[in-house]
Amino acid sequence: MPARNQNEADNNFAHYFRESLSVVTNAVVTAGREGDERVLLYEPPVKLQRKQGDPLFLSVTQTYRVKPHDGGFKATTTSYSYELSVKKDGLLEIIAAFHWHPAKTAKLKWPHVHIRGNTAEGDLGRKHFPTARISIEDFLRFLIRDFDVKPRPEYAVWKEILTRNKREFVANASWLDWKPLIS
Amino acid sequence: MPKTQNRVVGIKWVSKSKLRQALDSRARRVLGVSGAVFEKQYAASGPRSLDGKAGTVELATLCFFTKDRSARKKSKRS
Repeated sequence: MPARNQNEADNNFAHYFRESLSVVTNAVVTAGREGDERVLLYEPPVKLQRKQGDPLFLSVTQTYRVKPHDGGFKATTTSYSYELSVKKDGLLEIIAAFHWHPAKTAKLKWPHVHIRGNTAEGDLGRKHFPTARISIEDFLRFLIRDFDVKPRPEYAVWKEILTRNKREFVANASWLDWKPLIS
Repeated sequence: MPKTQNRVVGIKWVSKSKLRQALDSRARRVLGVSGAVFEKQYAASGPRSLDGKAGTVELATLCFFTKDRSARKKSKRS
């Protein structure tokens, strides 16, 4: 159901985003606006606690636009960047970055992931491995499952938050499409 | 479970100048240049400067929010 006004659409979108992030951190999200475009971000990256291993650092930048929809208003994601870093010799090094920024790069409109890895093929960091659209909830589950990031609430609570917010994300998606990712 | 663990993280709406500080901080961390230098480079070379370099897409995103749009073009009186 569309929001009744711009503020409501704005608040709803930011709330889902913040609630999902609260599963792994208590850091306040920075937000800014320019016209009808909004940005939510963490700068500097926030430290994530793990069950084992050195801490990881999370950097997120998400933009969205609030626009009229179906007699009300709706917030639509316009780009995202979810990055994971580790500290090496006192400096943060990005090891994986999930991106989607169609308006910024005319020849690179598909969601993709960059993975830092030196292989026989060379550095993979500049390759754009295609992905599906990734929600912040998908990314956080990935961190919890594969990087042992420690959720702040207990299992049933964080699972319910991420499931509910992902469901909301898909229910409001305006990007479901059959077209090839790379054209 | 302590109540604080259920609390939704806060949000802080900031001004353009604070976003400019965030841009500067990030540019120094990922590229070793100031935010102003990145803005000039991005304005000159556009999306080509984002070609897979880690951390640059976020900088370009922030540039949109830090750009000063209030300046008027100087025009000659006729």
